[in-house]
Amino acid sequence: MDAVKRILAIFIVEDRMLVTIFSVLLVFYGLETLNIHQTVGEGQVGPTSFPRVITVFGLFLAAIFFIKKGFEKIELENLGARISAEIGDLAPLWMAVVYVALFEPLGYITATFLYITVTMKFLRERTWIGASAYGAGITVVMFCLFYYGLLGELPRGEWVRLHEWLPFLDQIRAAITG
Amino acid sequence: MDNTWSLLMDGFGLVLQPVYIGYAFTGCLLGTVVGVLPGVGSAGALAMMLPIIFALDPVGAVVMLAATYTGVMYGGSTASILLRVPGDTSAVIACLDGHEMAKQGRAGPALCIAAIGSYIAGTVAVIGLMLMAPALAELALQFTSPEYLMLYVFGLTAVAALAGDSLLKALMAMTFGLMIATVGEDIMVGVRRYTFGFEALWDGVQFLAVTLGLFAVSEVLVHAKKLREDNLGTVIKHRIYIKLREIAESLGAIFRGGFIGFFVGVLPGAGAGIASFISYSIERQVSKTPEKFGTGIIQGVAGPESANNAASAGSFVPMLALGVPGSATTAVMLGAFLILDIDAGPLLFTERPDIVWSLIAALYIGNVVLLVLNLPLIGIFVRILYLPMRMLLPLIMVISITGVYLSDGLVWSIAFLCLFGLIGYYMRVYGFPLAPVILGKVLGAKMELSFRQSMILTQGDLWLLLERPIVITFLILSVASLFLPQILAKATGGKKVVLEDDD
Repeated sequence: MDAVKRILAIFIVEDRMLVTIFSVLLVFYGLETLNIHQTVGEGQVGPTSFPRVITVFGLFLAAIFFIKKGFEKIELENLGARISAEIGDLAPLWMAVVYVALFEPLGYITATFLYITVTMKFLRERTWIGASAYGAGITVVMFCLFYYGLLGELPRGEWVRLHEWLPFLDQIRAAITG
Repeated sequence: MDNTWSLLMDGFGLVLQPVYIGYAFTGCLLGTVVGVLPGVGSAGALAMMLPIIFALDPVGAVVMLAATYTGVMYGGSTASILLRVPGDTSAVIACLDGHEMAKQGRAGPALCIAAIGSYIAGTVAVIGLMLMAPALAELALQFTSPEYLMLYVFGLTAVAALAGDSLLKALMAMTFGLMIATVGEDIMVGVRRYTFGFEALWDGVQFLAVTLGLFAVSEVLVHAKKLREDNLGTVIKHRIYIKLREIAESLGAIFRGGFIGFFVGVLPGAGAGIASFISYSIERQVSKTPEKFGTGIIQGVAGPESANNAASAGSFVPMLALGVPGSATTAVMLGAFLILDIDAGPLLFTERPDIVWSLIAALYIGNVVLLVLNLPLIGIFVRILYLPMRMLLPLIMVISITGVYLSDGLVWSIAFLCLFGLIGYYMRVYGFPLAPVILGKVLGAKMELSFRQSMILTQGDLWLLLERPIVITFLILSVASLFLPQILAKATGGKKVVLEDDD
């Protein structure tokens, strides 16, 4: 069992983990060239030629990496503990994922306000009032900058129809664009 | 020559009227503000100015556009230096030493040298534009696919300058960037690759999602972790102004960056991003202390910033002399010329000298205005770094997410932003430099096109390329820049070249 762990460790400990993922990705990347629509001149100048060059080059680099690393001592680590710690470390990213998922249903204004408020509280803002005041302020600034200043199209919301409830939001823009 | 000077003086005579100086200030200020925001970019910023220039006379319009352009280029660097949020390719390099300087309390000097470098290199480039535009445009036309291929190979050797403590890791990161660049519709025949039927990938992985994910989102994750662990350290007091010694130390880098940027900018399609990567690579190679690059060395900001500004001016050469836009930005500029009923091309210099020389003068005035406007504003810009991290981090995330969404209106692009944030975080944790990924992504599509065209040209025998002098020159430069620093370091028993991309 220990031997299996040690062999596994060669590919998953520290930076080796990333190179292993990179190698697996490269293999799939290279194999996928077989599924790419074939064109005239394939093999020499078709759409698969450059990806194949990249695949060979990348796998060559990965092989050198593992050969070099093969001589270094590996310290076994508790993978389970590491993963659970890192899931916690990445909390701001998970919050951003939820923000993205709610971006269109809630609309830009509501989703951004909620995201900033919750993230700020997570980042140790003392009170919810402080976090929500900052969230509201930044949301207004960002909305004005992107919606009125740059005339960008931001999600209007499917569940929370703020633009219908607050028609002045669009009236201001109509006045700006003439 | 006398004629050139008198025409230039006429151009200055026109542009130096108070109303046009007012336009220059307005354009420069708007450009700086817009440039700070990710996703807009110089082409987008100029496109946004088009409705405004309808109301202006041709000279006023040209002044406004030129000033906006210089402002945008500087604004992009400001966000990179202060927040590690690069708005476009040319601002990526500023994330390395510029942001490191900011973390050491030297945000002011970093922003100052970016402005001063932009001014000096912009001046160098304007002189180049003035004296060499027609001749350089002819030379640029001699660049065919094999020459471009080797130029891009040379560009990729900048990876050595971004390598950190492992060239191998940097090369893998660059390969990853090249992989990303091949996603989407094939540039020659339109075949879809690696899209897996996923519509959001038809145009490839959005550049901004990759860049902001790798740099900005990963930065947020690293700082959020430190904040949660109470490990942020004390608040640093920032120095606002630059010392004369720092300017003196940067002059060489600025002039080199100016020349490199101008000549790279002249080549259609090469662009300011590639100019800044090449400049960074060369600065590290000519430096007596290459090991300090990436740790907050001022030349690491001065060179690339100068190069990207000079490249912007250089990209006007093919547009003015041949009517060929060398970049998205000059394409928008060309569109503006059409709106103003001006035909860019070989006859422009003789038929509308007022426009050509006003533009050249306006580019120069834009650089002066940039300096006058932005140096006093540095104190205000730097104040953003005094914001507590719990306020700054959500702000960076929202700016990044909104910028990515606005650039194509797809929520999936934000999902990619998060994915690349995750990848960037782990790359930083395990010592993989981030900038080579961007280098690969930027050069990938262009390199593939040149590679395939060269293969067609030589019928698969790439050795035939070695019959071309420009190809051989770039090949020698590429090999030298990739391996010479390593060989020299070993031969002299010098310190191992280290560039930490993370903390």
